[in-house]
Amino acid sequence: MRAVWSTRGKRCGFATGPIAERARLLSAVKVLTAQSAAGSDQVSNGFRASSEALATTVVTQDQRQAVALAAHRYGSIGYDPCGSNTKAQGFYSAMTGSAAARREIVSPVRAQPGRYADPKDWVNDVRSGAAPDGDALYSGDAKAATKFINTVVGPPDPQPLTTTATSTNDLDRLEKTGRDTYRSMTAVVLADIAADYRADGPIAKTRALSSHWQGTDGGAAWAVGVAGQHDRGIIQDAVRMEAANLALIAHQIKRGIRTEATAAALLLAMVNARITNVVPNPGRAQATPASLQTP
Amino acid sequence: MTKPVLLAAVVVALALPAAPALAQSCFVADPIWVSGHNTATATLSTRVATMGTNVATQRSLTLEMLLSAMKVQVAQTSTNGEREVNLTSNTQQAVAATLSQVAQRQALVDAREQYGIDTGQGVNACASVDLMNSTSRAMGNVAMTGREGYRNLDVAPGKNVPPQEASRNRLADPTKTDSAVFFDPAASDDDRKKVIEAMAGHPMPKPTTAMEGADADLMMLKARRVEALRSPALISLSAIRAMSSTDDHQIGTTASSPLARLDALIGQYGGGPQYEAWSAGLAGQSEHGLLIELTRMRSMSLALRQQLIEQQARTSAVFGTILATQASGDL
Repeated sequence: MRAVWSTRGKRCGFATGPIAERARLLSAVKVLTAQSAAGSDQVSNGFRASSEALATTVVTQDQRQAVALAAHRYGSIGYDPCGSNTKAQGFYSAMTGSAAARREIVSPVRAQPGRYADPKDWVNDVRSGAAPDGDALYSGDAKAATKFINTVVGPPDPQPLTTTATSTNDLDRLEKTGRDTYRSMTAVVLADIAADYRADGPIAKTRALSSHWQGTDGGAAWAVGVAGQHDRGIIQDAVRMEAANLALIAHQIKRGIRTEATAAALLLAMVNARITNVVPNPGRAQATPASLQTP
Repeated sequence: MTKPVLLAAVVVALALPAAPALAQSCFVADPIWVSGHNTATATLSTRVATMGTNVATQRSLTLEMLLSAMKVQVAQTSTNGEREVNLTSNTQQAVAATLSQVAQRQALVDAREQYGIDTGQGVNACASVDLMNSTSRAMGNVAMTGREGYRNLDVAPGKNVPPQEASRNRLADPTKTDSAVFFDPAASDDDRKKVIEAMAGHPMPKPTTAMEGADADLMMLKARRVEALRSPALISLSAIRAMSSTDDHQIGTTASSPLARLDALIGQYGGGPQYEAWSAGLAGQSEHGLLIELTRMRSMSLALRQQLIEQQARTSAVFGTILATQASGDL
């Protein structure tokens, strides 16, 4: 700086200093400008790249979480669904098999509706073998159940001596129609219960189904099974339980018919046993009973 | 911050050299020297003036150039700023758009899964509603069909069927006395009616106009008493008969019997042929669909429970009448 401003300095020398200075300054400003542009580029690129990375990370993380959640949700299928399926299917086939099992128990009964038979076979049935026992209904032993039912229903009606249509014969036959309905009601209801109690019958199967979740440990195994499951798994258990519940209520209505029918038959039998009313029968010796002394 | 400081330094550097050139002065008396001095002074002054002009020119040039460079710098800075702002804004927008698109897509997938007909409305929704509806309707028919059947019996209260006709009907086929028909939906409805009539016994004879007053009154009294005692049993048996009836109380429609509907319900939810598909269908249902399934079945359980309540009420009425019969002696 000092050399440029000495008295011996020439015009060109004098001017060279500031010009060079200016050039350096300008160059510095240019560098500054260029650097500023480059810096801005860097900032921009950096920002863009980091934003891209951010978006990618968030999206990937989100997707990963969604996949994990879906796997957890759909992997939660409730407590032992295969077991409850098997039990429900066992119940259904037991229920549908009951009618055939009932017929099998009821058909050897000697007193059949609308039929006559020799009572001596019935007497032999009752006398031979083990004592007839109501416990047989719940034992699953079809033969013992038949024996018990055969005994309580009573001996079959013997063939009438004459089949001519006399008023006495007609009365006997009429009384038999009523009696047969009561006897067959007893036979069919008791046989149905015995059929339900057979080893693989609906009683055993509903017991298995209804205790699937409760188990023999107060539901401890169930609680362990669903402890780590998503809500879905527990809702599915609730759905399967409700399905079993619904099926059992339907079954209960069907079986409730037995009680209602038996009670109705009992009432009719009692009413008929107490009717003493007779209708005067002009022209005949005997008055016609107003109803039938069925039992 | 560095830029203004730099600018200030440049301006100070340019202002300093001008001061020493103006400080020249002379006090000598020799004319020649003075003349020379004056010439020299004039030349010097000229030169100084020229230099001053030059310096001023250069300074102004420098200023101009620096200003222009600063302008470029400012413009560049402004451009940078603008670009950065635009880029920041665009990038942020892009990030927001991406995230919102992802969220939107997820929301769509969620909505479809939660509410779609395949996964969010219960297993096989339309068929389930059909099954529930036909079951409810069939069960609802029991009371009405039962009442119709009850009124048609020849032993119903108030009926006056001649005893001969009743006997003929009962003796027509004595094998039609098997109570098993109540538990077999496949049996004929007419057979069920025959069994009910055979079970009820003979219709009570009613007094004729030829009978005397007191006899007629007594006969009527006995007939009414017996009919009344029998009636709860007949209502119950008629309701049981209706459980197997395919009658429907809607014109132009047929229905399967309530017992068949109960079997269908057990078939669907109690391990029947449709159960496995239903159970597998649960696995594909969303939480919304599962809750619908659960609630749907609960509503059906509720409807069935009502049937159970009515069945028990009828049974209790029968037992109440049994007690009355037992307590009242001969009829």
